[in-house]
Amino acid sequence: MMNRRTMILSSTATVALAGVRPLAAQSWTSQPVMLINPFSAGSAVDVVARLLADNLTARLGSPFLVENRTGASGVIGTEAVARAEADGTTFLVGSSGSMGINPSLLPDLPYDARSDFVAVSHVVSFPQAICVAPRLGITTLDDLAELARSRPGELRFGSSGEGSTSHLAMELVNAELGLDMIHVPYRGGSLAIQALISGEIDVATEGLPSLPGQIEAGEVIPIAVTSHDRSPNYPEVRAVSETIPGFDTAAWIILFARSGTDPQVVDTFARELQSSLEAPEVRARLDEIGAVIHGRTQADTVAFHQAELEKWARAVELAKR
Amino acid sequence: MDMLANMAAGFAVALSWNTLLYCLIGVTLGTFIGVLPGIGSLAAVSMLLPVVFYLEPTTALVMLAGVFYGAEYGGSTASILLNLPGTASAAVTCLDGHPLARQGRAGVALFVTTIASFFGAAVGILVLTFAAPLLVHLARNFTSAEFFAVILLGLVSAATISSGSALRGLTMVLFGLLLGTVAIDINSGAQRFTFGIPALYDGFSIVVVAMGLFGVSEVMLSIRRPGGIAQQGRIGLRSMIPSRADMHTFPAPATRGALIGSFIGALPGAGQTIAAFLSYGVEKRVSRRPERFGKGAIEGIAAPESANNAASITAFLPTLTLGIPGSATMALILGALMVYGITPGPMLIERNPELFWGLIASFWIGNIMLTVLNIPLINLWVRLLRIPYAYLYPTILVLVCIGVFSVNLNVLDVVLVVGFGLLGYALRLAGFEPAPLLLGFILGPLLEENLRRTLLVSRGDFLAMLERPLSGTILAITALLLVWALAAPLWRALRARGAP
Repeated sequence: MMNRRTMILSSTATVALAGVRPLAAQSWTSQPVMLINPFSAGSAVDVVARLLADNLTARLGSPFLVENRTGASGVIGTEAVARAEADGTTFLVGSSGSMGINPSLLPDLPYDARSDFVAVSHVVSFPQAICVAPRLGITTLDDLAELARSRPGELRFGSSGEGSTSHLAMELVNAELGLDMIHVPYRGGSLAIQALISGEIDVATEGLPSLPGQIEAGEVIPIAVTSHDRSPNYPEVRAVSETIPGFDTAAWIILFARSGTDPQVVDTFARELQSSLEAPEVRARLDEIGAVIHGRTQADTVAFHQAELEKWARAVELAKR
Repeated sequence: MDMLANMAAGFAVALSWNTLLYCLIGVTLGTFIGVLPGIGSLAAVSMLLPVVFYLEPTTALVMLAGVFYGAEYGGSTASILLNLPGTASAAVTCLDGHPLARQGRAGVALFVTTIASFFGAAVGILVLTFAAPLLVHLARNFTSAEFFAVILLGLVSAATISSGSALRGLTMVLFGLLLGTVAIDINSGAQRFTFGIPALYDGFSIVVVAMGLFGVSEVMLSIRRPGGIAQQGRIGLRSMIPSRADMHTFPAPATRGALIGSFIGALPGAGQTIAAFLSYGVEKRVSRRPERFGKGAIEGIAAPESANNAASITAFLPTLTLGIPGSATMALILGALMVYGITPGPMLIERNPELFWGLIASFWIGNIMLTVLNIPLINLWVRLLRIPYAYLYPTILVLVCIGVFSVNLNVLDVVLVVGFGLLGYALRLAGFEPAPLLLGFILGPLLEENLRRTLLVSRGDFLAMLERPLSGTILAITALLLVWALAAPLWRALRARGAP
């Protein structure tokens, strides 16, 4: 009895609210929407997801919730979305690692990153920086290339793990510039930075937002950013694309729906995400944490994700050699 | 003088009503999540994160830190009473803590661990205050070679933690090393023994293994053992006060534990569990009567508890001053600071003195609060043992399952904890002890990872790690310890034969 009454009450409320909401949003936000993040709370990806969820909740009047389903390099949470109903109430907070690299890196995924998901919107990217130890005495990627060529197979580059964006981005750089460096994987980017400071390695790539302390203290020297454009926070640091045209391995966040979700819902969600990204308070917070705002349309995002899958597949192949 | 002024400013921050309140909330929460099996500071901090963004940065940091080190106080409670480690580092406390409880001395054991916890934390804070530059210097120069050496030292000094035969202990260490290989190999990216199951990509969780081997197997064993833990009649303050002999054995182990803990804690990526195991091993080594260990030796709980609390304090050093978080929980705390626009790193102390010194002052206040909070609680905890087993143990199993499930929301973990419980049960029936297994399981992957990385960097040259002064010294100590361990029984045997 109680259940039915609550149901009736809540559906009346929905109808009442629907009157003030944009028409297109009506069809799917009558129920709470879950954004599944396969990584832990408090990470940069999580901050972005929660920021968007809060803004969507405030604007659309129905709850958008972030759930952290962690483990297995993001496979657990990604699988949860692949298994969810395609009713537009569950979305995946996808990132370069889980939805760009894993499909090529892990042989027996319990889902297909292409056919089980529909890309909704590429919301933001995080620039990464290639950093070197100050003792190398170099400041640009060209210097590094020269140094690496003069000492083939001697320089060591650290990463946040085998098959991470920080590993594969360097593999792509090495392939493009014909460099021979030793890869040393660490359990996380900050430990790679620690190794750079202790002198165990010469080069490491890490997300720019987590580096300002070490950069300012002169403990690590950023020589290039891996995003296509220079970072507004470090305008003097060149982009890799200035040496290797078209190079872009910034870590992205794309929201995905389960395949089979009503295309109209997907399209509406993509546009609502764009609106959220335009809100001044959201922009301000994203700037603070060093995210680059994209807010691509659904069609653009699908093409972008396709290109990313191909790029990382190539990088994984290169790393195997 | 400068130091005094800094501390005074720090206390001015930490003693404001607001900060005091959040410090109290943090340490109280920490104590309880420490007591509850499975739910650790990682889960608590991640749940608190959305809330703390409404607070001042210093207040928020003080509260999150309180949860982090408060959990180390609570972790030992269930270890002692129920042989159920509340946190991974408290698994060591099971070894001698639970036997004490079986002898009806649970109150004493809890009192000693509380005092040891405070003592360890106090030493940790002093080290943090006066030796910060030295520790930062050490941590900065720590490469994989040094990590390998320290972990090897830990393994060698603690390989003898089993109280039975050395061969059985060694067998269990090797079994643990094998279990530790299950995961995606960090150095090659290859999947080892994962059978294509994504939930095994990260390996077995330490919480699951510790909880199953110790806690669940204990519940199973109790079914065969009518009567249960000896109960204390009335738990007044008097029955908690350790005897004079206990107090006499307390200071040296607690001091050694605190120093070991302070050092290990300051190394990014080492952590409280290694500190606890290492100090237990050291105590057993230096003890004149090592045969008492595992049967309720006071040193066996004082040293590891002192060590893990000291480590939980000095763990803030690499996080705040190098910007390098040593654990997942620390990474979350660091992330929270960055959201406030505070950049952890070498400039932090200079730029945010009120934050750094306020935090240090809050460590004193928080640890005093924890001691005051925990001593009256002892009474309550010991009373738990009066609950009939028919109610107590099923409740524990439910709590274990909830705790284990809550870490990753994964049903497989619940299945695994039961599996490890059965394994622990079988091993204990057969006379094998689970502690060396857990040690091998925790240290094995770290040992392999750092050894292979060292060799990768030195291009396969084993001698490179002997040439580095720091790793060379630690390896030399390890070798001495090994020689001593092998030679001492031989020497005793020879003397026994020489005597008429």
